[in-house]
Amino acid sequence: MNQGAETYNHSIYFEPSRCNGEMACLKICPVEAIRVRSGKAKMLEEKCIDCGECVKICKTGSIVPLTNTFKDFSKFGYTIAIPSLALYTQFDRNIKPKTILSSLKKTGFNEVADITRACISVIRTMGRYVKEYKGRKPLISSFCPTCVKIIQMRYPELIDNLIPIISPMELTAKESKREASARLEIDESEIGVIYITPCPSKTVIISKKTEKYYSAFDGAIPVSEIYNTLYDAIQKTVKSRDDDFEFFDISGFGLNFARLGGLGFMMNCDNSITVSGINNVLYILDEIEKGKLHNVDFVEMHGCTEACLGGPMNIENVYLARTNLHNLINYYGESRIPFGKKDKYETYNLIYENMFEPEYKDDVNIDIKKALAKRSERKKIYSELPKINCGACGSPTCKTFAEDVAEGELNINDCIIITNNILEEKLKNFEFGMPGE
Amino acid sequence: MEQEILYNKIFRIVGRDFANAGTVSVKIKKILKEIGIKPEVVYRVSICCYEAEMNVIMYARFAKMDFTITSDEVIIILEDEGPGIENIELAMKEGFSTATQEMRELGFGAGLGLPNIKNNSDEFKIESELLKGTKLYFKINLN
Repeated sequence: MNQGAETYNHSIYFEPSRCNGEMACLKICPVEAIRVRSGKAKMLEEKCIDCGECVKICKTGSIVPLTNTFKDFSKFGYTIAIPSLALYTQFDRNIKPKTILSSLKKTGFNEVADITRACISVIRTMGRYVKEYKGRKPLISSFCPTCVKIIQMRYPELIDNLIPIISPMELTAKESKREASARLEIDESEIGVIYITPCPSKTVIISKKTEKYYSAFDGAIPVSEIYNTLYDAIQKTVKSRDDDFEFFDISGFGLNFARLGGLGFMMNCDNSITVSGINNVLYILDEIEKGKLHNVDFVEMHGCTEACLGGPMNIENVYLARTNLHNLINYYGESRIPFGKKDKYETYNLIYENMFEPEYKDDVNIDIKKALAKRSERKKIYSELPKINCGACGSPTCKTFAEDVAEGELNINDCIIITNNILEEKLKNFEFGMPGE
Repeated sequence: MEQEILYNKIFRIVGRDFANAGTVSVKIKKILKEIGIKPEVVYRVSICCYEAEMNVIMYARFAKMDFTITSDEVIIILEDEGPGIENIELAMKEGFSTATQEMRELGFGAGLGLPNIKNNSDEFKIESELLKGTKLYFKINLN
């Protein structure tokens, strides 16, 4: 991490010097966590859910994902890179994961690992968990950190619906670390495991080490950061064909994990739904909260459209990436869980009870009377506003503007429509002519 | 001791209205959130309200939910016109349900409704008259 204090709990930060105040991010933020003040965008930390929508839309580069660079890993004697499945889809369709992985190793890692086998192990356990679950339905997938964060912050009553299972990346990271430390006879702390990530939200999970559960990763490098170096390495590998000597145990079935709808498909769960895109996720969570989806067994949830292929730090456009993924699945051609193969991760415990806890700021006991007064003040201010949600004041909607005025951060005259009306009124009553005439 | 009522609102719930199921508890949750009540309390209130609301929608014809906030508690009184509960002791047992097959297919009727309200509230009372209706009273402390 190159920025921020210990307590900073977000994967992105706003660099004011680069912001040109165009406010593209203001409107895109699905949870109204951005304000523009004096021409510079800023984030309301207690509202942000790390979805990365603002990173995608900002053209000035003032919204910076907090990820690592190569330099951060020089302290480790041995490094292992574990790429997200999205990396396999970022190149020309003729370039196979084997080539990508061996080229990735050449860019400066001691070892690389593929996660598709771990995907199958995780899915097996998850399928069992869904089948045996007796509580309130539907169960919700927990692999998208943004979706988990939304639930922790805004829908704490749905926390028990999250499947408390570790992700295939984590599983691979744990196993690779253990293997390498046994093979090389060095301590695990000397081994750096790095995730090649399509989105910034993973970094929050990685940096968070709670008592119950901690990540085996030591950092994350965005796909976009590594892309150019990797692209060159791939060209060289293709020419020299030296990846022929490497072997990676890649499963075509495991690749379905990255596909939108892949989880339900892999678990063979016909009573499941898939939702992607942050606004759709919020809509479905509202529906679940109202009890509309009690008859669905499983909901696969992704903050980005087209799941991790749509991550803000990918390079290839998401539709091409999707085609690439489908081609890869066909190329490896396993349509169901492969039998007879030994499960490398069989002995691992994948389910962690109470893995997720509600997340909100510690509230001191509030004075209800004052709070209610404030609420009616907000309502009163809101009733006077034009309600066109223009955003010119720097708050995304008239409702948030009313909140900001009630908090004393803004003045009602910061609304350009109200100010304009006042001026027009004044002009009407203004009498032209010379004084004393 | 009578406490000063700081906020009061009455919601109406219509039985069998599955299209609008859950909307009243979502509204209550929204109000509590806007005031800035502690999330744990909001969570408990919304669970209780949701269960109570679903009971009305599944079994009763009509109900009014009286929602009150005082300086240190949330009080909800729910009066419905409906079939009433024959055996309250049995209805309070976890897993007991009179839900029809159709309701169960919709994912309801696990027999956890009333026990869930009792477990999540600080004070809970229930009265019922057969063929007339049920009156539910529960209270959740704010602090």
